[in-house]
Amino acid sequence: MTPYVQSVFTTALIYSLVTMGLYITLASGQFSIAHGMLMGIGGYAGGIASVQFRVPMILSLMVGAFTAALFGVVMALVLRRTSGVLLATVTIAIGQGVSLTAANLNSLGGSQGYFGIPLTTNLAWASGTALVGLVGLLVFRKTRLGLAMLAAGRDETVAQSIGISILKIRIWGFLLGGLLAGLGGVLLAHNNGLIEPSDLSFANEPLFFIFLMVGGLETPWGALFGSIGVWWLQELLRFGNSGQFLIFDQADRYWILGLVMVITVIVRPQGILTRKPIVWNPTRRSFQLLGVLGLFRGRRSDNTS
Amino acid sequence: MKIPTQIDERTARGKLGYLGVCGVSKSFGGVSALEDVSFDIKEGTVAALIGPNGAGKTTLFNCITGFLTPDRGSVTFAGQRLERRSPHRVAQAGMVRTFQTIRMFPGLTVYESLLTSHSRLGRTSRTNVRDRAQDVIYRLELEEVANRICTELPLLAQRKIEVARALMTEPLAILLDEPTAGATVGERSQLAELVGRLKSSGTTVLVIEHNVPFVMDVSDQIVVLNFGKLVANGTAEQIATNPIVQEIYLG
Amino acid sequence: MTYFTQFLIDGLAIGSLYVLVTIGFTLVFGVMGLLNVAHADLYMVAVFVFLGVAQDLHFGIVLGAIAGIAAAGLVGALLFWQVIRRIDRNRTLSMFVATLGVSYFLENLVAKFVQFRTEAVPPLFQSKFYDVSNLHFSTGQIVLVGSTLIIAVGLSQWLRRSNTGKLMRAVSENTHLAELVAIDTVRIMAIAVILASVIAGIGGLLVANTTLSVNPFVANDVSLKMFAVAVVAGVGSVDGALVVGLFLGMIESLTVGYFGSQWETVIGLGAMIIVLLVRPQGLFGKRLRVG
Ligand SMILES: Nc1ncnc2c1ncn2[C@@H]1O[C@H](COP(=O)(O)OP(=O)(O)O)[C@@H](O)[C@H]1O
Ligand SMILES: [Mg+2]
Repeated sequence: MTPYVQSVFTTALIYSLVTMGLYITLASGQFSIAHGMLMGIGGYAGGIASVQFRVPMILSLMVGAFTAALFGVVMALVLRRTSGVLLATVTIAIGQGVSLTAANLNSLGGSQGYFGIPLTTNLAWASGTALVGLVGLLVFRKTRLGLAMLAAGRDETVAQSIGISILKIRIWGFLLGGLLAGLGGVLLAHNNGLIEPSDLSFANEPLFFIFLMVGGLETPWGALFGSIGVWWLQELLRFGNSGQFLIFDQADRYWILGLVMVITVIVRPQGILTRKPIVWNPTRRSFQLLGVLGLFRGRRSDNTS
Repeated sequence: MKIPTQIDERTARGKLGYLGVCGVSKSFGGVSALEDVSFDIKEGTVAALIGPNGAGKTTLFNCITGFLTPDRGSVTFAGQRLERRSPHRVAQAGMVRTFQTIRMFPGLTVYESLLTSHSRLGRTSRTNVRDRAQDVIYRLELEEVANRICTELPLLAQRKIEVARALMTEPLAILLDEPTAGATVGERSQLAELVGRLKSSGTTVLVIEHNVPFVMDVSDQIVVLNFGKLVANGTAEQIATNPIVQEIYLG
Repeated sequence: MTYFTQFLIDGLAIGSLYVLVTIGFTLVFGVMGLLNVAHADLYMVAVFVFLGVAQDLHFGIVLGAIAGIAAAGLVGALLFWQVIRRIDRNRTLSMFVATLGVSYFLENLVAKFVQFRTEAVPPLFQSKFYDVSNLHFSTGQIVLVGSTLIIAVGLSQWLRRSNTGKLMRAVSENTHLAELVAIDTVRIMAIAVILASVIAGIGGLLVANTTLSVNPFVANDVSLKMFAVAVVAGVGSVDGALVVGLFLGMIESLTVGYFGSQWETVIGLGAMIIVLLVRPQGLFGKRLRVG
């Protein structure tokens, strides 16, 4: 692999972690869209840990993930009476507000961002962390809580009526979302050598949504492959060295991505990859480890064995 | 006919599946939907809640199951007071309900819908959730449709799935809100049989119902609401000959 | 005291921007439960079309302004018919993501044309500046605040008095019920979206007339205030948006004046969170009916 290919994959995998965070928060039925902010918070925390305390990367990752998760939980608790589209509105505003506040905090480097973070992130760190995130999510989905999320994400009223605490689901949705986004943030900070207030802003949010909506919003695999696929598409739209293709140039790639997103939502609202249902099979014993890693399984209606 | 207004807490305590509703009132911005409703249901019996549309039956269910907090009054169940609990804690106490308009989890298969349920007994439940789901599938004869998407199934199957979902919590009592709405005669008798089986497994059942033969067939006790007030409470024979009830239903 | 009054005057102008953007957003939210992230972008579209037609194509200020407002309305109409109508109404997430995509598309398309730069905007008319007992204000500000009041009060009265307005309020109260009584909800929604877009366009021109600049990504900052005002007022409440928008503008202006610009965003955000904790339906909102 050339350094260029490596660096594109690294960035895509970093973003895939944030997108996985978005996936799990949305899957829990929580319409929270401040994952750019959570990513940034993780980045600042991990960056500060590395610069001020010279901790090893693995500890930076933990610090960043923990801080972002904590922030997520606090948000879940403070906003516990808000849900649906209103929650979305409020989380956008919070993300934007935190970004502007960070720009005004001189101790965090102000609008210039926080500099001097060691460039530790490489493809190995990015893919290792993404793998941990992915496997973690796949296992989590089969736990009691993961299954309860399946219900709460679809109908909170019914979920409550069968004994599921919405507050608990919400806290977990924000916590895991923060954890994953925070990991992405630490990797990003150690990839760029700095973390900026603009990394936290709502302006980045569309990107994560494009990844997830195109990849498939019902499965963590969608977050992973969506990020890699769309990020590569974005790279190809730079049109190599010339930066030109017919009437297009590389500045066109952003609006093209926006268009891709709108068209995907209209044509295939669930995204390319779909969730593989848990199949009841009376002849086989219940828990199958291989099934945990189950992937794409064709169209939904085909699964009616 | 005797309308119990006071519930003896001592007899209630410890009797699992006993439901006591005492002096429950609820109004929506001045409109009184329930006024001082009191009755009790013995454990392991089937009670029917009847009354014209808008009588407050669904509102009563909502008050019992924590979806609404009553303005006054208490709900006692399995020796616990439920009127201030949130819905999921009512379910964990052993009382689950279905909804008047069927609500399926969109995109989930029947089996998955069952797996999502939390057992009332939590981690101490002796059965693992997959075995419990298997058991419920067999009990409600859902084998054929277990791997189908819920929302694509016919009405009767969806009604059964609602009950199945409720049973997954291993409940002591189950509240059914108009389970036979829109059902054919044949389906209705299947549902009646289902209620009978719930009863014989020791579960307390409270069912909102309009269909008189169905009510007479399944219930040990009938509670009649009209304009938010309890107007009668007794056995099927007592209710059938009750002049007030006859007036509501015939005049 | 002079400073205080001066800050209030400047705050009214800032608040007018918030009001003009929020009333349309909140109207659409109320009528169809749609979180239209692209709403604030219409403001930007109007100003850039105005720039293009008035300046680059030399059609003059008046035609430019008309074209700008028409463009906002047209984009709104396209958004409704080509995007929103093609998505299952029950998929709230898809609806939101679609408007997010439209927003990203519009911003970056415009950005491409202007090379990602902030552009200077010519004034709609020559503003006069007044100095009355040490207070500075301009005709631009007066026109902005005056038009805001006229538009907001006009919209609110129209919703109360006119037939379409009454229907719109009915749809806002309960879409399902409105459908049952055979109200053409799609038509009402289309009118709401286009009306909101046009108001956002007018707002864009009036505000650009006092700020004299615009950049393709201005919506990111405007949206934050728009959301804060809508939430504090109670989403769906046009009257509330007027009051809260002007109020937020003045408070912000006072805070920035006395304490420095780093506190600017904290105010709106803080107000929003406190309101959500104490009164989740907003100051002027009605509690949603459950069940
Ligand atoms: N959430 C609510 N807000 C306002 N009024 C309600 C609400 N729920 C029910 N009602 C009113 O309470 C009365 C009883 O309704 P309901 O309990 O649904 O009757 P039933 O189930 O017996 O047909 C009706 O007049 C209804 O309009
Ligand atoms: Mg009812």
